[in-house]
Amino acid sequence: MSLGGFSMFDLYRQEAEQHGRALSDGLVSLESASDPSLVEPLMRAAHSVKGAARIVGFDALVKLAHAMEDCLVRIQKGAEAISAARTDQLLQGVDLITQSAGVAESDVASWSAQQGAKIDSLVKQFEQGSALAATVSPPPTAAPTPTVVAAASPPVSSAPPTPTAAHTTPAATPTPTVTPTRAATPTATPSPTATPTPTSGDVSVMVRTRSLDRLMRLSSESLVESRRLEGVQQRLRAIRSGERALEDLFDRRRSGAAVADDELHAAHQRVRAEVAQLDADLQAHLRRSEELGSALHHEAVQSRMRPFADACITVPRTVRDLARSLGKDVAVRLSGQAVSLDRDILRKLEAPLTHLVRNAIDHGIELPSDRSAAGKPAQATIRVTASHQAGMLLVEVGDDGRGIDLDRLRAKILEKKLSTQELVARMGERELLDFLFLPGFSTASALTDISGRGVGLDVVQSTVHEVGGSVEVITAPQKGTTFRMRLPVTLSVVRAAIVSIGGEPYALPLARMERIDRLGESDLAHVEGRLVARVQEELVGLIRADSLLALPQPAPTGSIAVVSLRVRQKTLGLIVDGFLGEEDIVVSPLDDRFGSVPHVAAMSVRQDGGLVLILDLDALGIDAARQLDEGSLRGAAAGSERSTAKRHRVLVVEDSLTVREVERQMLTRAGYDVDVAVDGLDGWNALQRSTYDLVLSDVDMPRMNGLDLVRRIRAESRLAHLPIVMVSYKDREEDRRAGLEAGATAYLTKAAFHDRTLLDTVADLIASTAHGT
Amino acid sequence: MSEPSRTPRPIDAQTLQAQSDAFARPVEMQRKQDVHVVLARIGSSWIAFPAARVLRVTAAVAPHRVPHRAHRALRGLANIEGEIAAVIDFASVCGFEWSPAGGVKSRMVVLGERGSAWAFEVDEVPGTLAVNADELSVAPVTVSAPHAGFTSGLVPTEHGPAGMVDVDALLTACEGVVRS
Repeated sequence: MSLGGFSMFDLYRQEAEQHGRALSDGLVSLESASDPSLVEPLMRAAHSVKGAARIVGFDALVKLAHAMEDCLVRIQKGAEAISAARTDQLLQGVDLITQSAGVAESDVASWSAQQGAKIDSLVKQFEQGSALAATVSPPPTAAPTPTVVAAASPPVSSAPPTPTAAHTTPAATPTPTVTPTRAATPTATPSPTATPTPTSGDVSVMVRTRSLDRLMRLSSESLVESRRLEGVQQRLRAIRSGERALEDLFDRRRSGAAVADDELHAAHQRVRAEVAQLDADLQAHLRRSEELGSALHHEAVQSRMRPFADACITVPRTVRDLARSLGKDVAVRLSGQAVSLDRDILRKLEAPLTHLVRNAIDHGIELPSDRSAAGKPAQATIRVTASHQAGMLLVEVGDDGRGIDLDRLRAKILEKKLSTQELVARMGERELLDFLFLPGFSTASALTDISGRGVGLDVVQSTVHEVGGSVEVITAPQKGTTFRMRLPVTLSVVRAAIVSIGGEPYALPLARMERIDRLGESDLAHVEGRLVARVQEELVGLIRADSLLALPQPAPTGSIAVVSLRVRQKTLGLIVDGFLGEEDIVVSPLDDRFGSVPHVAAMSVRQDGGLVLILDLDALGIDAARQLDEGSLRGAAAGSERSTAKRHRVLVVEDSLTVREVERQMLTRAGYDVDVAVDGLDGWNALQRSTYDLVLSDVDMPRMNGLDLVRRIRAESRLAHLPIVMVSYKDREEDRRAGLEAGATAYLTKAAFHDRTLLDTVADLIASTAHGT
Repeated sequence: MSEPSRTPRPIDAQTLQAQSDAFARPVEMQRKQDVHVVLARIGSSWIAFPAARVLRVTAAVAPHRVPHRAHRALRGLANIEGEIAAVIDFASVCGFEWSPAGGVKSRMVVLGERGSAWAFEVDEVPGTLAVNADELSVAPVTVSAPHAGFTSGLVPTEHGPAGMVDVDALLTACEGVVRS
């Protein structure tokens, strides 16, 4: 049976997903508030699931939802008190309902068989009275009940959550790389069927009906408005006929007939009135068209927006379950729930948000006894807030826990041999905290199945970077830690600074830049062969944007603007010709005939019809930093290496600052000219600009991983024979095979740094290529 | 002049006179094999673009240069009446008469199709011509040598012979230009 493109089972899935969320959310609130009035919506939700399951013949779910509904009825009538154990059981039931939303219609029977025993056991528990309930599933520790202070309201039927959002329910939140040393939480048992099966190739998204209605109304108005031009055309015809009448009068006059001045005047007045009316009509049409066009655009952008609450739906539940399993007492404070953001960003935000919340509970927040001993309230608080600030979305996940121990962080950096004692001692707080975002870095002494701070923080960072945002950590001993993510509100419109480079406009997304300052030539100075300026009390290395972009440099004008970027724990300044203003620009992909253009992310058409190229500030910053480093090196060693014979050039592609530096130094000492790239895309851009004798690449990197980089290189005929050495911590046979199958010439593990394996391999491969050609 | 003008912009006095003269000529019965071309002047050379491949002729728009694309024939990207076009210096891509300070071109001939438009800056577009296929002659070696790959023949015009552009070969070359 099909209903407007949806099958009945599709509708069941939507209902199960929507009510599953409402149940999960409501149960957590009920447990903390013990308010019987909160039970009714839960009963209704269970009842709706039962009805929907019955229609599609999902009998196992009918049985489960029915038992849950009965149990909730007892609680509402006061026949049974809500207990933590009962909440656990009900939440397990909710998890099954949510999972069932991901089951394909053809798999209903097998799923039911697989989950049958679990459902029967739960149903039995629900049927038993409250006296038995507490003994069935004791909590792992005698945990206090967490309090949800401002839980997200359950989604209303007019604004159901997006289908994709259901993929990250707590039950399905993956913690893939950690070793389970602790018993899994009651809900952390993802089953294979929890993975939803895509139903079709087309992606359908939910749009608020109100938004769709407005779009319909506006497009109808546009249609009507365009038809008004017919009226304009009629008026034009009237003018023409008036003009002809006037001409006739003149002709008659010329041929000697008597034509009164009044008659001529009247005819002229008629034409004049029509022209005035036409002018007014056209003005009105222009104004309305402009208003309609901009309203339509605004509404189309708005239709992509979802409230931040959608990203927080699983948070109270995650906090409850985790806190309970760890014996911690945690209250959640959610704020900014109505703040709207693009659905694509929302989708990307869910995983980092969940990860940060889990991290905070697992590592940030102390046990109640420790908190009391430290003179803090036993109940900890996690704050998840969203707000709009300067056209950006600011999302913060903060705890009032113990804060990050910087001494322990320093020890960990040394233990992992990521830097030297001397350097670590000199590092500032911000620099030290940046190590938390390195892949594989964890300060947790024992990794748990919940989180290891660091395991996944790199993923948080790369996800945030992917949508053009940034993330930073603020921490204070005993006061807590806050992760602050700055994200664009939408991906289709960005707030950007428009600057002039080489006499042409370029857009710089505000999210990725620190500031813009206008400076005079007198504010600039040369230090160690580098151009620097003092910006906000900080001495900042400067580099010309036009030279980075390989554009001809215009004559100096006496005053310049400096765009400050933060790259690799340093601020650097890009010199541009001037600052032209701030605009909201609609992002369009760059013309694909041009392929990938280094440093250019996209383009946009401005209001005056002119084009503006949107720069990729990450890539630009990385290259600027590299050129500044090279410039200072060249300044220090001017002329000393110029006379040497041609040296082989190696490109090191590695996202870890430390590994990259180790590789660079090893190869430089061995006599190679080394360029570095911070991820696959950066590496790919470097290969477009320059020629190398060998590429040394990591496997796991943000933006473009090593395997994709290798495949891309091999797909280009000019690079088909370029030797590529992959270096990774992953030493399993299948990892090695994946690297070689992608097209790598050799695959080494990072242990190769400790002997000459790496250098020998590089030397052999370069030599064999040189002989081969 | 059998086709309506493709020049919607205000027309200067000189062009107007040329057009008027063209219309004043006696109308000849068109023969079946007529090929319509848009005639354009670049420097002292006359070029004939097959009219069927011309999207529009407009006033020149200043293109936005594209970073890291150094080919001398690539002028940049421009928004031409809502269409994003890659702007190419025709003379450079054909390899003739290249002068970096070739002066500001006043018109643009836009070729290709929607979503993949190519704009060529030219000095002058007097209008369209209907040419009998029989009148097309093979370009002599001396004329066609510099842009041999892009000229499919010579069109006789009142200004002298104009090179008939082989649009497919030209656009293939342009694709190479924007990627290098």
